[in-house]
Amino acid sequence: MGTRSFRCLLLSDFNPSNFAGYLENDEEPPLLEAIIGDFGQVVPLLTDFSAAPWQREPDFAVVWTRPEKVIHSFQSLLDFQHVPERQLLEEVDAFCGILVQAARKLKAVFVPTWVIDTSRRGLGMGDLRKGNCARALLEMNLRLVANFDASANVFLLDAQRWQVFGGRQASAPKLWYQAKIPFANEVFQAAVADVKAAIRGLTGQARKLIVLDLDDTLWGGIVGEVGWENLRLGGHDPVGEAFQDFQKTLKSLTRRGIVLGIVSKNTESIALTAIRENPEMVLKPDDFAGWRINWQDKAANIADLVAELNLGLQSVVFIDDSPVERSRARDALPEVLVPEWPEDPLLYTTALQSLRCFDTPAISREDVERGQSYVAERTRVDLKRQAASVDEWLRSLDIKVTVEPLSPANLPRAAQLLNKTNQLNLSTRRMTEPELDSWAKAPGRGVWVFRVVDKFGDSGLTGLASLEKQGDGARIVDFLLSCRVIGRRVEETMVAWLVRKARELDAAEVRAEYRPTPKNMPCLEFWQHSRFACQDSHIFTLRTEAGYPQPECVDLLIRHAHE
Amino acid sequence: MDKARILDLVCSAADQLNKQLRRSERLEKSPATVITGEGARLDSLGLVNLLVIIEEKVEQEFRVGVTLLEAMAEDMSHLHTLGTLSDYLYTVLQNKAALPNATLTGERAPSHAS
Repeated sequence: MGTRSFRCLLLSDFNPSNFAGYLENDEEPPLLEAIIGDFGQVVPLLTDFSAAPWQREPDFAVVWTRPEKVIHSFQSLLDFQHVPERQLLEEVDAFCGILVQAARKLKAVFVPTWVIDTSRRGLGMGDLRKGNCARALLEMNLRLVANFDASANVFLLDAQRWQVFGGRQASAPKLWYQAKIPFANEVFQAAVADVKAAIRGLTGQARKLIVLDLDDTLWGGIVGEVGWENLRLGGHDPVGEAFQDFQKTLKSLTRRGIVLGIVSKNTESIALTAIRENPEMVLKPDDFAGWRINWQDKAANIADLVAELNLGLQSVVFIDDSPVERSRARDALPEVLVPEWPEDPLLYTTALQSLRCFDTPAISREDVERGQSYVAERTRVDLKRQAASVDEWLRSLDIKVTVEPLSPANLPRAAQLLNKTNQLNLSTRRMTEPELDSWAKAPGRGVWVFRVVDKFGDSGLTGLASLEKQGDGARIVDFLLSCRVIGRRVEETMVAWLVRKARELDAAEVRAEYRPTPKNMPCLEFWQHSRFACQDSHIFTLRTEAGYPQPECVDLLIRHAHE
Repeated sequence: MDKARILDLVCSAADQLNKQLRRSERLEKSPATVITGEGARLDSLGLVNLLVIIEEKVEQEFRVGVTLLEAMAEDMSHLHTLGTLSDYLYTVLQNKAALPNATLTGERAPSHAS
């Protein structure tokens, strides 16, 4: 992954120094610089943007409060005084209102859920009854959830999970009385890991592809030796049951947009027969976007498979039971995440579920359908092999591209695409939903999204482009397309649309400026092969009077904002 | 129990503390590392963190509770270096071992609750 860093504002009603220390020292990307607000000044700092911490222009904020400090009525409840529920929730609403306002100044705000000292028992069995503390805390946390539901950039993080990492010592009275730090360091370390996972999810750095070994990873035994009928999988066998549960968990990940692949040293026909024929297999060939099953080097196979799927190595997690293969993959492909893997198959599912690399703010329709779109792509490639020419193949696909302006309905997916797309991306701008919406509304600007469908399936909203009038010309500011549809002339269709819109703006010239990143070379190659003239190796211009031809193999459908 | 084991414990606590310190503030794991007074690398918060980590490690390893904060009130020279802190801790633990309800073997002494 890249070395991009962000500034993170920490606002808390306790001393956040230990949290800040772990946040800055953690070497997992992205690197974070902590900006510490005076502790105990949460609400004043959330409302005074002239205060010093805001001058350092933080990208993100963590607002970590304790319920008894920020919601005064809750302290009364802890003291066994009666508090009307309405009063309690009104205080929560007021706090949320302040937070949502402040979030407009940031890419995102992370709010740990409220927890109390783990040693406090309250009434014990009665504490979850109406009017008591544990019940009130649940209701207050649910109120936070409800208040932030409508906000695109305020996210709750589950602090109760962090307390689990702290164990019996999660609350730290010694640190509290000596330094006003209420939690054990293990709690802060777990919090840092979750905050970073959340930022990765928001900035397009979450992993998308799990590449799996087969023997003793997906099933028990060596299929080439014992045969597919004798694999340890399912049945009344703890190990077989554990392998099957591992497959079920992988299958569930495919439903939220994670793609599966296989890299295994095996004979392909034997391995595929096992996948197809073994009745205990949860995963079937169509659950895998692709595979490399042969006797070649696994690292080379991973790189080859990832290239075929048009993904970057930074999107990949490789799971293999063999420490030797893991070590080889780590050495050869440092961008690939190769987690340490337990020796005991009974722990595989827990190991998979503990990975923090798949965090995402939401699941889109495109995420849900991603796995199937790769299967459709495999069918397309087969057809391409049979076709006499690329043009003939493209015509046979019946490609339809629908263009529509940015709107509240497509904004979440548009922002997700903007923040996730790396390869075919002209400027690699990263913006939150409110930032993108606000940018698009300024005069002289237009943002459009593109949906792609062909006879094999609906790829969904996979393209985004924006244009800004500058003097008597127009500049293409964003131009990005999901790797899933690259090479089907959707790129040219988007350029033709932008040139057409530039003419409507009376722009004499359209200009695209390529901003290089470690990953967007495919975009430069596209523009170099376009009809635009190249200047200084990264600026591309076209006189609008020349127009730009719409590819014949693509049907362009125009949807207006109100449709 | 020997002094080397206690020094190892103190150094491993320093190692743990280093994970939350800036590179320039990190402690070298050596008995000569100055932690308070002239030339000290730790601020007061760093010192509190170090002492609390050591107390937790002592609790885990020897199953006895110690309060090193008292050392500050008694005599700050105990906290001058990792070495003097280790020596002080050794003395505290030896005194604890002399008590009837504490052992330093990693086992809790039998309870005599009424």
